[in-house]
Amino acid sequence: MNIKISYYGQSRQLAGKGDEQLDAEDNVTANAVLKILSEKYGEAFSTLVLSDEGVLRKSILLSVNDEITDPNQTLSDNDELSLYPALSGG
Amino acid sequence: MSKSKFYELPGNLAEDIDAHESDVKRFLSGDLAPGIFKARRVPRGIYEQRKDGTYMMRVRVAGGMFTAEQGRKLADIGEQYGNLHVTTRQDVQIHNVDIADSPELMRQLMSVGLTSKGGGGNTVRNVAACPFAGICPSEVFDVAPYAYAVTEYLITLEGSYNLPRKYKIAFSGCGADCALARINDLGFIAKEKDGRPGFEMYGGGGMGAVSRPGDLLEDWISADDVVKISEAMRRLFDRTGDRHNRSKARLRFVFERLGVEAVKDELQKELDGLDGVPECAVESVIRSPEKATVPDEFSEGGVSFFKQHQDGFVAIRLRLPMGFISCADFRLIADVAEKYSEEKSLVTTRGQDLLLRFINEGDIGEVAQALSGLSVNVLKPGALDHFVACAGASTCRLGLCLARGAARASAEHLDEVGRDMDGVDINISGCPNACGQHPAASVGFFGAAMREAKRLVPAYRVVLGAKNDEDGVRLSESVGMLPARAMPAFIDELTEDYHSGRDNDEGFSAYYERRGKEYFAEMVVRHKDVPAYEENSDYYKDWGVDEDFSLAGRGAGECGAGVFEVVSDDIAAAKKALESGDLDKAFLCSIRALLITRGVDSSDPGEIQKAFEEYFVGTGLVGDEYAVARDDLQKGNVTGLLDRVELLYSSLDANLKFNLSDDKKVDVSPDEGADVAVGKVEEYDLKGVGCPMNFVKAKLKLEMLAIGDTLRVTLDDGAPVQNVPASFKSEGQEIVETVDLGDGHWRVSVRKIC
Amino acid sequence: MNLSEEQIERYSRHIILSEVGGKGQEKLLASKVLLVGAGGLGSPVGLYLAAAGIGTIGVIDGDVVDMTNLQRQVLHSTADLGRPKVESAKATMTGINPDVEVKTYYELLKADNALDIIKDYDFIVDGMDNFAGKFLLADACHMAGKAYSHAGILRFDGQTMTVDPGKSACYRCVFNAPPPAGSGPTCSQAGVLGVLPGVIGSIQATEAVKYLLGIGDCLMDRLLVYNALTMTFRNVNLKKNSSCALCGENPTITELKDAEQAVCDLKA
Repeated sequence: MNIKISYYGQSRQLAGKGDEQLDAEDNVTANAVLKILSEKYGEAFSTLVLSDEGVLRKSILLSVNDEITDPNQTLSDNDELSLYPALSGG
Repeated sequence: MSKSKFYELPGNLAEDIDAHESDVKRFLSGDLAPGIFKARRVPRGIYEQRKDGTYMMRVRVAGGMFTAEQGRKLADIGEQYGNLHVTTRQDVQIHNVDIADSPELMRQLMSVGLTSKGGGGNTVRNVAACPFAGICPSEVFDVAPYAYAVTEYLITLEGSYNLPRKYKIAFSGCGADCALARINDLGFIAKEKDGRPGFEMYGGGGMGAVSRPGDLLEDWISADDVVKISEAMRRLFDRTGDRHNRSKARLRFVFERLGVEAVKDELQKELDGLDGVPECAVESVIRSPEKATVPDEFSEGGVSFFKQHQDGFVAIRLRLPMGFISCADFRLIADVAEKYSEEKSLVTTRGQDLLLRFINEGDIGEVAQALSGLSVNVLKPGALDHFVACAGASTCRLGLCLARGAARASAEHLDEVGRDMDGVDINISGCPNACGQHPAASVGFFGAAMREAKRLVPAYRVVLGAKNDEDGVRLSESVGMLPARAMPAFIDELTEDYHSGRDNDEGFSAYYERRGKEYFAEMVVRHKDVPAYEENSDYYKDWGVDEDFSLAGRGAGECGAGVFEVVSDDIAAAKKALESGDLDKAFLCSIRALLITRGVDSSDPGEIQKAFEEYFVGTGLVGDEYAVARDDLQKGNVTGLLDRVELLYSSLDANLKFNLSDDKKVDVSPDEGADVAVGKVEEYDLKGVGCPMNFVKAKLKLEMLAIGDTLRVTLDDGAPVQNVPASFKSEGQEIVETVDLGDGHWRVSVRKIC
Repeated sequence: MNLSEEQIERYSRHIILSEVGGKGQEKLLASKVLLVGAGGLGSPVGLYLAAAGIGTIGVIDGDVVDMTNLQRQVLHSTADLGRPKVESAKATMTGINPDVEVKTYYELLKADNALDIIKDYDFIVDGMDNFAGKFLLADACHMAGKAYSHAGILRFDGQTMTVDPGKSACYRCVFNAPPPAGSGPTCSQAGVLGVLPGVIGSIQATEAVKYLLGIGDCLMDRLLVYNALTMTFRNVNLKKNSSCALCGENPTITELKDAEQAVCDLKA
């Protein structure tokens, strides 16, 4: 199935793109997608997004189709997963 | 048998004309503010026309009856200005009058026993009567003398010229009710009881944006009491009418508000309290007609006439297209009346025609011959005579559509296709206010606007089926709306349908009733389509105009000039004088301002002071402020007095009663029982304040008022008056009235809704 | 109505609005708003709130004006270099509108002063440039029951949400920790488009005014996300998290604590 990923803030810089499409297994969880992406974009990305335990960091807002989402949620075909790291500036 | 006049003029008319002359001079020299001038001239029957500086004079013709001599005088007077116009209230109007000439015209009218006094404004309007009064085979007795008696009594009273709104009275000789007594403020229908003349009495009827059939108040009253009752009802109206809300000011709204039973009680109270009002001294000869009906119209040698109940006499109908007639023609008709009418008289009709009365049946041919010299064939004109149409947007600021343009275009079309209009009479009003009397029409239209792809289309709502007979009143009902351009074809189809479908002499309203509303609604739908602008832009123009239809410049008419303008103008003058240091004037204006609410209108300082002391100081409405200012004329003292006057003015209610919540000096005059729910009214002068600060300030003032209270702002002409009311409306507030003060300013009343 | 003639003129465009009117303007004049931080975000907030006639505006900031601030912190000018930001902010704001009383706090928001300072205000605006401050303010506002506007910016990205404590999702329902150190450049090292805080701060000022007037829909339970490069705004719908450490069913944050700040966070 197809998943759309959108990147914001630091994640966009580390992914080097604003969004992309990903071919994923059915019933994949959001967290599993993040793991796939971490492998794809390397350590800096992985550190930003995942904790040492390999789960979504609390400094990232994860949304599916513009709704805040638990990383354990399973995704459906054509879902859009978005990553919003907290922003510190003022 | 002939008379020189039909009603007696008030004894003080000459003085009133002198006062008018002085007002005109002061107005023309700039000494009298246009707003004040307007408040004075409108009740004298003089309206400003849409074209600046031209005026219309409306001459009251009681019962529509006038003598040949009076007719000739009207023709003489009108001659230098243009045509004369017969109105649906049986008055005769002279148009395009130069205001400077008006006092002289009034004197000339007076010399033949006519007056324009009470022709307009919030006054006792022309007392209407059945045009067949005195001659009709089906009348119970001649009601015209009662119309004269009521006129004679009421027009002498100062209180008749400062009512909450106009007061209309009508008399009919039988239940066929040709004068629409059942749809007037007060209406009388002749009825015999035990051999005595009397009337069935109706009240609270009227036509307008909100029309209402009158309620039957009494099954029979003695004819002797007609003047008393008319006066009692005038007092009742004066006391209970809503002076703050012009759109709800007519007597019929008092009926709605209090209920008919309460009105009857109040009327009885007024009657009980009457003193010195005479009985009607009319000797009536009671007849015993077979039935109440509109008289049959006969035709001989192309002349339409009615057979009078007097043997051998007929009344010839002269058809004036929509009531217009040239002065030359009018004079010729008066001459014919002089020569052939046994009574040497004429009568105007509600259908804006004339009747030549008391013509010997044998003279019909000769009369026809004599009338052949007229520029219009009044004996047999075209379809246009079947139309009654108000001036509409041509001279009236309330008008949406050009009613007369639509009538002319329709008549032209009907003549062209050769349509016989037998039995179809059409009333057209340019807006929902029923000056064209569409609510009482068998076939009526009133102006509206449709929207087609963002453009405005002049349109009419079609109203059909009114009837008024002994079974009661039914006002016309709406069956749909069509573009103004479709009116000629629609009337043609409607008339053809009626002629081919009617049973024998079935009238249109009966035909309407039989076919049912749906039948006609479907007919309207067939004429409803508006082509695209690119396809036919004519649909987007009103009849007789080359420009696209728009609603720019619409607003309130000037009929309502009254007390409030006068008060606020005086207060404004006082303030101005105060600023410029003219303390004498400031003091005088301050104490004069409210006097008009007590019926005093004077410019003599001694009189003003005396009246103020009597009505305001003596009653405790004004305290020490007065004496302090009078004895020590200093700016601060006069300001104190003026503040008190303004406060009183702001508390003035529908009964011209002061309601001050902050102290106990409340006016104990008129009746305490009247339950009139009117909020506080606050004045705010925003002259010279531009947009948007005028709205900002007015809005802040309104915020401080309670729901139901009214803010009355004075605004400059132009953008301010265009914008401020619209802004309030968009905020959900109610615009109660928008009145042109005539001096470059407008008064807008806003009622707080939210 | 106590508006002076000058005030009627000054606030006429507010008064005309049916949602504001004279009463609304009087409400604003009687309102008190605290700006935490007089930097990039705090600048447009301060300017607009002063212009709007918020009667009392508190400004807390422990910094002085630095040359690097002037690219985006429009409350301050070149002449103000070296001056405490709260002072130059006050001068600018009262210059715009003398109706406004500006209270200054030349200090940092800390666990020991936060509650005391915010208690006097009706609405608080987070214009701070570090996570420690943002979490502290989120906690303090929740404990004091004060509504506030959160915002964060970096490079071309901005986020903002409004929190009505106990009623809508709080900052910690969304972000419950700062990003890990070393996950990339932060704050001053990352750069920021100068006009970015202008956009986001203006939105915060809008939220403050709406909240005070009680009109419209504020950014409760929504995070508004802005990207200046793609020029897109996006709403992410939020909901209160029942296991939130601050506002959840079993909160673990019950008192204010100062977090350690990254060195670079102190000077942005």
